[in-house]
Amino acid sequence: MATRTGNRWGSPIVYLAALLLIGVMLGPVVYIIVGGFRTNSQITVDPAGWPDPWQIGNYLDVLRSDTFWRQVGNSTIVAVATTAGVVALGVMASFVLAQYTFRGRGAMYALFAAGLMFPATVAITPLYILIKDLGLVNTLPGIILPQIAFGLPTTVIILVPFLRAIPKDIEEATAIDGCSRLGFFWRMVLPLSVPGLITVAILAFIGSWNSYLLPLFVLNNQESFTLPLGVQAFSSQYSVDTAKVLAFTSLSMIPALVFFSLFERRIVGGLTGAVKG
Amino acid sequence: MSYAFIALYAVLTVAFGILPALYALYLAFTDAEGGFAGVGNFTKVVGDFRFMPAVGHVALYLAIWLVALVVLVTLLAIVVHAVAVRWVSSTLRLIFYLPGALAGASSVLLWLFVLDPAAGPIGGLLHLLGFDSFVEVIVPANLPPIFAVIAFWTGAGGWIVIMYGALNNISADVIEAARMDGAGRIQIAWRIQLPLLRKWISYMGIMSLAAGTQLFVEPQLLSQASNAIVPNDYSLNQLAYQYAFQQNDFNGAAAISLLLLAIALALSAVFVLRGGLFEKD
Repeated sequence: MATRTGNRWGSPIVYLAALLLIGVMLGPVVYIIVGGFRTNSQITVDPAGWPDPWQIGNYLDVLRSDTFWRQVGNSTIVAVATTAGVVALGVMASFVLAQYTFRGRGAMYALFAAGLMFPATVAITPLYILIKDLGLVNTLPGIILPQIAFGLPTTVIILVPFLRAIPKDIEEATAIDGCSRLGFFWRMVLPLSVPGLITVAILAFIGSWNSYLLPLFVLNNQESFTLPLGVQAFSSQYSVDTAKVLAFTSLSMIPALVFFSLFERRIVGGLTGAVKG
Repeated sequence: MSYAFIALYAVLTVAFGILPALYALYLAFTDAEGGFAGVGNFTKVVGDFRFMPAVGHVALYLAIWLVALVVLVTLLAIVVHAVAVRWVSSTLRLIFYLPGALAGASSVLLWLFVLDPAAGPIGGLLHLLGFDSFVEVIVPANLPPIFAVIAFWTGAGGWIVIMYGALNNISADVIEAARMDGAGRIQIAWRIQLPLLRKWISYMGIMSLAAGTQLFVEPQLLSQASNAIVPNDYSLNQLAYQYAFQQNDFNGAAAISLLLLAIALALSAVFVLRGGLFEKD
């Protein structure tokens, strides 16, 4: 970056605005998490106050309930399977699109672009009928398979520029050394694309963790609920017990928040890479 | 091998994307017995007394949200980009981006608490504005801005990051040349950065427009949380859901979906034609 003349820190107004915005962005999250440490009477007396004294009872209650852990289990299975599918299929498709020219490649790209725009909700009713015909209603694969399909366009759009950056020379060199295309993919492309793969994996995981619409259609019994459905069911069941609902809600958000913060650099790097594409 | 590698992807896309879309097409033009219905389903849903209000709700929400998104995201990206101290800039990006982790159901549930004057952190402010109960906050007139706030809260950070990346791509020489010619920060932003960002701004606008027409989760959760004070047919997608699961009229639901799809496809055509984003450079 070019050296700037004048004040390195820039205008104070910029920082004031940024501070205000930080409050708006982080405030709600902090409120939910801290609110779970209060009692209902504390919340009623002073909605915006700090816990006094801090109560961990709400969190313990939630952590001791089977319902919560069953939903965590369901959400984890769905998220992990979705992520694995999206990454495996995504890297294969991206590899082909990035490295080879073949008939219909332009059409494939148009399909991905359209796929990004194509919101799952448009065809959700027929999709539901299809899932029902396949006998997958109330099962986790009934969510996992469509989610993999929906997650692929984003994955491909992020991975293609990444894979394109692998020089052609490397493939020629490996070919001279007697390496097949498959061998090249397995031994060179996969190891080189690990950072990109982490980006798409995190995005797929978080997308699946927060997914609400598809589970709402496909899962109708409490046993198979994932967390977003569970949180909603819990909050209507215990609507008077605000503190406990806050605890349940914040516990359900924590995995996504942690993943996101840990891998923020990777996600941002991946998105920026796609921009440069 | 090329085709083999794409085959799995193609199978899933066909099974869960294209096939349901074609099925929707079939359903939309047939009646419950499977006979050809012409445009019967379309006239039925468009003539439904709930249809036009739903269109109005979604359009108003889109107008508020898109304007806020385009103006604020562009402004914030330029501001964050102008911060010369590296760690401040990257911390700001992380914080703006963080709520994106809660996109979907969590963010809506979270905002329901925040907007409750009796339990939320901004209860004082809400009381000042004349809202004394949650029911008063979620009167229909307030819903479009509320949904816009939720959508902005979760979605803006990702776009700020993308815009920031695009700003980084602008050659430093161009900016330096402008500065030599005596351009101030605001002039640089207005005359150089903004025009060079235009492609990304229109990309963001179109993507958000397409996503916004699908409004469902926010009003649906709010409707359930408020014991139907917010109607369960507030948005077009909710109306489609009502048709399918309350009235058992899958044909009507498909007709609504198809109308929404037509809008999404028209927008995506615009995006592909004028964006040129996925061409090889």
